[in-house]
Amino acid sequence: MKGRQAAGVRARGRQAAGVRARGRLGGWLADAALILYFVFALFPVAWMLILSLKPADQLFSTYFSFTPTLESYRTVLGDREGIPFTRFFGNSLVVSVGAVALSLVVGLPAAYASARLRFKGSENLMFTLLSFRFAPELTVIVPLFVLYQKLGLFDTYVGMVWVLQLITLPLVVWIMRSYFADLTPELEQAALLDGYTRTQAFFKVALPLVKPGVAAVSLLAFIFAWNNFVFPLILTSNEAQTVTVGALSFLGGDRPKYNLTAAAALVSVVPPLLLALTIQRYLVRGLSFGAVKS
Amino acid sequence: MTALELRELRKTYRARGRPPVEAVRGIDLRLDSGELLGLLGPSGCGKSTTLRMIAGLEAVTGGDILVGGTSVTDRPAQRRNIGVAFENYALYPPLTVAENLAFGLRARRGSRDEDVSRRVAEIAERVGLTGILDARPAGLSSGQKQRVCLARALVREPDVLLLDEPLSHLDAARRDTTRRELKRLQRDLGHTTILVTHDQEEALSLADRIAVMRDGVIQQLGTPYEIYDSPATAFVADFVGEPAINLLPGVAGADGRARLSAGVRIPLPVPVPEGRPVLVGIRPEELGLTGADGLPARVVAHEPLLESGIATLALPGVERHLVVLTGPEVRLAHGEQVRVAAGLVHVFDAETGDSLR
Repeated sequence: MKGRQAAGVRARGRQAAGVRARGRLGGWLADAALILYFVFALFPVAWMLILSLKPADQLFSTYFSFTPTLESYRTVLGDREGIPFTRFFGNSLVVSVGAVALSLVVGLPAAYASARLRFKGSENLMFTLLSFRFAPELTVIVPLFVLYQKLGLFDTYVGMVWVLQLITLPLVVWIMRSYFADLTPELEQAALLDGYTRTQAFFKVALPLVKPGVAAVSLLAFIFAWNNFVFPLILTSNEAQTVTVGALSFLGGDRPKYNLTAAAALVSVVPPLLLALTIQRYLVRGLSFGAVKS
Repeated sequence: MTALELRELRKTYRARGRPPVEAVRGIDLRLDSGELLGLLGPSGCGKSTTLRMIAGLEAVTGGDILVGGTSVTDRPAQRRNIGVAFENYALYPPLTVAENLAFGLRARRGSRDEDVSRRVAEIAERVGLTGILDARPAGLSSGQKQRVCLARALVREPDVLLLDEPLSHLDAARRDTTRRELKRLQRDLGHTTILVTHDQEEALSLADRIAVMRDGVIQQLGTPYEIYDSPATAFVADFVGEPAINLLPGVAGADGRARLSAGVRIPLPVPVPEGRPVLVGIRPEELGLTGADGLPARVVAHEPLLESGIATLALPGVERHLVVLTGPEVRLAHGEQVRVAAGLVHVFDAETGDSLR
């Protein structure tokens, strides 16, 4: 009996050691895979960074030794070379923030209504909104271009904010809808019984409880709007042009200035990156699309 | 305080492509001022729908709701002055207990801060929340949440108080104390109250009168004793009482007895036409083990429960077993032959389930 017990213990010990060894090996493999992916993912970014720090005459050298200089950044941010980059940057901020703000104003009540109230065609409406997201932008861009020319929306802030709604509004409505659906309806019903109106219940009870969702969805919408390329490419020319398109201006002319484009691209990453880092905590929850209850 | 009256109240849910669902099918009820009525029934019987219609959270399909003699059917929830304690408490998580209570008071136009805080302090004292006014709902026990929820419903001095399964989320020990507390509070404050529950114990102990609901209809309305002593239908008899009543199918005979099987006949309390199929209902506590006379039965199981015991007996030729409440001193062995005699016997129509009286 005792012998069998001891054997059992020994066997368990061996097993445990095996599990540990396998665990350690798995850990190394995972680490190696992560490092590989890290290199793969960040290599283009590193390349851009190197490119942006190179002086113009060493651009096409393939070896890694060069004299680093911030000249490219000075040129880009100093609006030299005849390209008003800081204005493009400002334009991006204006139209992205504008699109997000408008989406929130329209989308939050819409999301609430679709989560709470049963009305005719609500599902069809929601599907229509979603469908904006699965058609490639290119399918609508030509008619939009013509319309924008005719309506005088071409190359204007209003026009850009308006078109970026196509991207940000469905995002806001769909994500916020699931946040609102996660709240128990009794919370607002209690407010109704207390004598508040439906609108007051929305503002005083429901909205404060979905603040994390609002933060997350605002950031996501901002990133989508900021990174959009096709709409500003076709629907703006100069006045309302955004950084995504503006950064490419340096490639025109007799000689493409890759270093300037790289610098411009890296500068344009800063706002979404800063925003993402500040509200990272909410972002993860936002990406789970409201599935996680607070 | 205020009387509440429901007249022919109906609710039908209609959805496209599906047959309409009649959740509530014509309910008539009248509660006197200060009365506590228990709405008792299994889940899906329409009791919660009825409660939500009274509160104004659900549109009424037909009928009328009168509070203090005035119809409120067409008023939205916020203009009915009805307090509801929700089953899931529904406290506002970001607010403290005091703020939760004050929230409802501030909805009124021109509410003054000092009035609000005086009223909050008053109700907190009454319900026993004084110590936890600064806590947030997440940090409260379920018993405390339940009291906050009740206090929030009471703080506005509603005309009618509706309690939706108020004790269902509490553990057994907490439930007993909270139930007594609830009874005392309701007596003290004197609100006209409807208590919705599926738990008969809750309804029996708290309510002045009980309405037993099934399939959207009230099957019986009466005091707890009336419901227990003379159930109007086999369903009511079965739903109220623990352990459940014995319902044995049989046929009325010419001798004023019901024939359950070839050898088992039970005398009926009322004359029933010969040959009519009936359900004989005998409560376990109305059955006793006797020495000599009585029906012969075989013990299938006996569960001694200290202060009493539950014996399951098989009558010869009868498919359903008979459950008998025995005294504490009784010891029965499996397979033992005993004799059992019935006291009060109920008889129901086998088809409709209605009591034959």
